[in-house]
Amino acid sequence: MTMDGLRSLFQARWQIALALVAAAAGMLSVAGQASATGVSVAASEELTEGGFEFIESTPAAVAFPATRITGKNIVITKGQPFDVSDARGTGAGWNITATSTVFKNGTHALLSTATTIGSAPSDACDAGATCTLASNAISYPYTLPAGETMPTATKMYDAAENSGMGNQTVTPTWSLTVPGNAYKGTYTATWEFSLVSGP
Amino acid sequence: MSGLRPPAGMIGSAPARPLARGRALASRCGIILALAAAAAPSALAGEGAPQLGGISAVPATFSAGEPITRSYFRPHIAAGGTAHEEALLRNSSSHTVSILVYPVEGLTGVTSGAVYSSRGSAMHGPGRWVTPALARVTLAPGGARRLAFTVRVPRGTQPGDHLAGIAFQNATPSRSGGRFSITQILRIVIGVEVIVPGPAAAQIQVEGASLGPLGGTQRAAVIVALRNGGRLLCKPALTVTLHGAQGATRTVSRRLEAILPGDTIPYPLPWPQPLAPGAYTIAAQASDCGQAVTISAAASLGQPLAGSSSAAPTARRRTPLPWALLAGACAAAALVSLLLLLFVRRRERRRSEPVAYGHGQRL
Repeated sequence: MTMDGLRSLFQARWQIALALVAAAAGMLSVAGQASATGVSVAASEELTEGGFEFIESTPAAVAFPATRITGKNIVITKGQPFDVSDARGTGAGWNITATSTVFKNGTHALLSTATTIGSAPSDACDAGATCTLASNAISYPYTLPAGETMPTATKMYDAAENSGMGNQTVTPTWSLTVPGNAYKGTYTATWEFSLVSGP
Repeated sequence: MSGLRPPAGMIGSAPARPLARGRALASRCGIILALAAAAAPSALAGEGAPQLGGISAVPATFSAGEPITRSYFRPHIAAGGTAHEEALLRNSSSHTVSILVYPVEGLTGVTSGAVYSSRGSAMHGPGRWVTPALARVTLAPGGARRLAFTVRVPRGTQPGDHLAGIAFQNATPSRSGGRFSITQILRIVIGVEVIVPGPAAAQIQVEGASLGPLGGTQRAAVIVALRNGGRLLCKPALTVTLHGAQGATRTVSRRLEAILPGDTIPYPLPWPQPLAPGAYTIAAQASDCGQAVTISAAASLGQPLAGSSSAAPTARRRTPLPWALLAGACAAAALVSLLLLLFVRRRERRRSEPVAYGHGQRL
């Protein structure tokens, strides 16, 4: 074998060794994270024992993609996961209500019925959580109430009694209709979501 | 002599093929594990932008005789009386949060159901009876505290159900960027259903019915004006029968959410069938909220409307990522790679010692 061949073999071995070390490190990392996850979950349960909340991982505001005005009405969509934890153990149920201001661009505004949810949001137990999925009786399509000031909210999603228990993520897909005669520019709005426990 | 020597390409490739395979496998495993490592925390903690969740609020005390008071407040207070309540706040997030605490008014949403006023909205009813001890609370990560509030019922208040609430709102709203920028407010609201003792009854009323589209759509709905003329909160059942001009008849029933005493809503009942322009007769009956009431109303439709599918909640169970399985598979792959490496190494040694150096064939 030539020196080149040896060098090549030596390098290949080093690369394999490095890859194996990386793999082992990865495994340790995953194991560590699994362990950390376990700790985190345990700690979370301890902290939120009896809790009722949007979990911390509930994301920030929806970011609709930009769109080009074409003269036709355009519908842009975006999903929004709401990570809800009902660890109260009461089976009382809960609901999410929503209201908003209209999208405004200076003096120009989109319609107050511009934002809708076309079909029932999906609901899924969070990873590592056994949950009772929400039994939702809301009718869809759902129109997000909107006005110059926020009008009375409406129920966007609900969990009937003895449902919605445990950690679960409700994901509605928002549709925003931009009319063909919209003015160009940046539109702003305020959306308010309430996680409600009440009659 | 060179004829005995394997072709140049084969020298590298014979041992290199398993080496390359092993290397590729190990690299792939490394990548998978790295992705797994990257994905695991993001799946748990969410990505990027500031997060508003992590604030939990529940009643701090409850009445043993009323299990529902574990979930929301339901004080029984005579007119002119006062009750003291406490909520338990927790910050389960990993950062300090500042929480706005304020009373809210109970309202009926247009699709029925108790909803609550926004911060800063004018309150004229029971929302004014609620006074929190603090308007703002700051909680460290993992922190918890009780927050007291009083409910003071004015003299002369009529017996029955009166709905207010107490809201806990993250003081820092999030804002998305882009051409459609949304400022998002997240809050927890716990209902405060004040029961003022005395004679009171529920009584639903149907004040009218018409046809029209569901808001923001071209889908059909029968809009029924409903009023709770009683003094108790109730959840009526609604049955609507629509007689079309061509004799077609269909009946739809639905259990509504709460309608608060004194509130009127134009409830939009999604109609499953498409409706053609023309004249219709609507018969609407509301029950389970006092005496059942029925009205009949004539309605006309000027434009065709598509049928509305009713709520069909889709439930999908997310399968947790099999991290352990993935790690195990990669560990096995790493072991196989190691064995392969040893095997190739041993084979190389056997092959190279006598050939390359023992007989000097390269010369």
